[in-house]
Amino acid sequence: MLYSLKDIECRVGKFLLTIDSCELDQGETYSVVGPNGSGKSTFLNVLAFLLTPRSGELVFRGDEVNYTEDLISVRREVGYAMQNPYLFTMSVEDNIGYGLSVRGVATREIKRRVGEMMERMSLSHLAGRRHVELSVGESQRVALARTLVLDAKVILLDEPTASVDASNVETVERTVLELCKERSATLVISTHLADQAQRMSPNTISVVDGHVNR
Amino acid sequence: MDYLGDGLAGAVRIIVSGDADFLSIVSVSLLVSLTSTCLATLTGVPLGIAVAQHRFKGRGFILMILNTLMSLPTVVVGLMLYSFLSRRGPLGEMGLLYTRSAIVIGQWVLAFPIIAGLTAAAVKGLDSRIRQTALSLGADAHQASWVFLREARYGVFAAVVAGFGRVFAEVGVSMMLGGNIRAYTRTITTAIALETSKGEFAMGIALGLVLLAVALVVNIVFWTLRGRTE
Amino acid sequence: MFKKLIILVALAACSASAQQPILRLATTTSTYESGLLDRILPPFERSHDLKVHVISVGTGKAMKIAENGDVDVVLVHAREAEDKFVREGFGVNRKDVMHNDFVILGPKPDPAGIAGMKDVSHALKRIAENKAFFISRGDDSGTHKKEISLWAKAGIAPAGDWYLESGQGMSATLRMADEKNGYVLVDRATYLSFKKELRLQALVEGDDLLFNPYGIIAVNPELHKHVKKDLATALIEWMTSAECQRLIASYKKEGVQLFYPDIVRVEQEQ
Repeated sequence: MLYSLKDIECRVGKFLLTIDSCELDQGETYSVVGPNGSGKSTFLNVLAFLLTPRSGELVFRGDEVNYTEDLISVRREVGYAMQNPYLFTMSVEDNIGYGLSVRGVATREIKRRVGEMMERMSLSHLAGRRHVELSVGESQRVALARTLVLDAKVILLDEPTASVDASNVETVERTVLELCKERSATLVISTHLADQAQRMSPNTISVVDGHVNR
Repeated sequence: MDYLGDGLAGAVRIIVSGDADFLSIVSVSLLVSLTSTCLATLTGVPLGIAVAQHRFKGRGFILMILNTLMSLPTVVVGLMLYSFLSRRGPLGEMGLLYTRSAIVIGQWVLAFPIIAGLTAAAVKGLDSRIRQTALSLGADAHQASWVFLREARYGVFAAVVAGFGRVFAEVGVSMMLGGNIRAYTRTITTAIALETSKGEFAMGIALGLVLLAVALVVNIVFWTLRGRTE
Repeated sequence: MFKKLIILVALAACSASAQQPILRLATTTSTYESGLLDRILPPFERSHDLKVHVISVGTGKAMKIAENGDVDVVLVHAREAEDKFVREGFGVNRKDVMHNDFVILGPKPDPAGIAGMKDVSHALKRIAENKAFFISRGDDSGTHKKEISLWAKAGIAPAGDWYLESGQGMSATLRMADEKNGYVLVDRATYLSFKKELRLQALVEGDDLLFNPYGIIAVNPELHKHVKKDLATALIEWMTSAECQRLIASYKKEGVQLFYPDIVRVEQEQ
């Protein structure tokens, strides 16, 4: 078992997210569904170890997560593409390579993997561009590539195609699924689209009014 | 017309021939202004970031003070510091009046609020997602702070440039605290004031051209950097 | 904290400069802008291996700076104020150095009709009666003090649209008078230094009231422990030495002597 969450309460400002019980297995794919504002992003932030629950228990790979410690090592096992992504004021390549460079990967290796990923995501034509020259859809695909290039065993995608052109949605979905299969990675993808949830995974986790139901 | 023409021709001669007085004035100006800008950067940038990022008691008060100081006339700063640094003043025993250090201190007081205030504004204007994005991609706390600073770099650099621009072109502090002593505290602006009153327009124009050139270079550097990395 | 920072700043800025002893002299603009100090200070700096930092301001300001102990020695021209300065214990070792005289300049059309007058009081009265522009220093300098005393002797309290206070140095004030076609009181040294650039002409000169003596005074070391008493004394000795006095006498602009030494003259007369 990859994740096991029990009786978790997590507060962001006035918003409260509760998870009674939720377990996620290694190598599976999950769709997180629910209306906008229901708490899908907060749930993914918990899975990415970016939020500290007020109470409850989160077990990751069999170890209970101790939030008083530095979580950098578990955080680095997760590749997370947030909704409404921010691109750094760097070139497209440097943006995609950022997660690798903070992990200390050699420059040449970064270059190779970034190039590969850009090709797979049909982003090669954006090479050498600066982030300000991208459309919203292109930005989101670059942000997605930035996460997928990490080779993480856990991939969290928050509304990954929200701003992507209809013509590219299929490519993105297919590439994500292929990659997860190749790496036997666990995929958690949130979406407000019922048909996308169906296409991506038979396992659905629904989030309603701040309550997560598995 | 001859009057102006002669002045310009004389100015060009002074610059081309590398007149000793001229070079000394320019180097004194650069020395004190760069020193004060460095010190104001080292102190102002951290304060600006702190004020922009953290909510603490007295934060609004600090911002108000910074904004007030930003528009303080240089002669007022000069006057206040004069009374501090004079032998009769509280810091008198240090004997700083009419030294380069006195100008540096005065210019630091001028540049510090600008650099801190503009840094605060720049950092506040940054996207709130930067740090979160870095963390989500596996950055540790230091790396996230670093990328945050990196995103703030143009704003911070612009703040530093604005601070330098103010001190390099100010005359009140240099005159009152430095005393316009030749080859020691005579800066470009105090020299222009002196030379104009003496009717030595050529030297005044030559120095004015340097002021103009420095302003131009600073702006070119700024825009080039910005254009390249944005 | 603040103090520590100041020390840091001071060190940063000082590190570059060579550590020669420094003597600070506050002086009137006329001695500096006329170029005299550039003639008589370098030999002194060489023989004593030091640097004289000249702060050139009006006489009033110079004595104020000295009162605060921010300089070591002053060279000024306002006899009464100098005596008061010494009497009140701010200065010691006052010595006469040199003198010249004041001149009243005016525009060539001379609207007040004072050209050639020998009596200053009379001339000033005419200027006031005609409400011709008069540009005053208005900065408590030696020249300004002299001007005020001249108005007082003439029994006039100058005021009105015609009486303008520049609040600036002698050269700037001359320039202003020249631009506005006004009358102005000026020391002869500054006048001769700028004569070439001025349209104004010397209209009244030679009255005993226009005598302009320069004196040098050391700041009282009893009052300000930090002043460089020995160096100040050395400078005073130099200024009153025969060698320096000869340099003063030989300093000319356009072939005209600007300052008349006090000591050499005494020697000659004896």
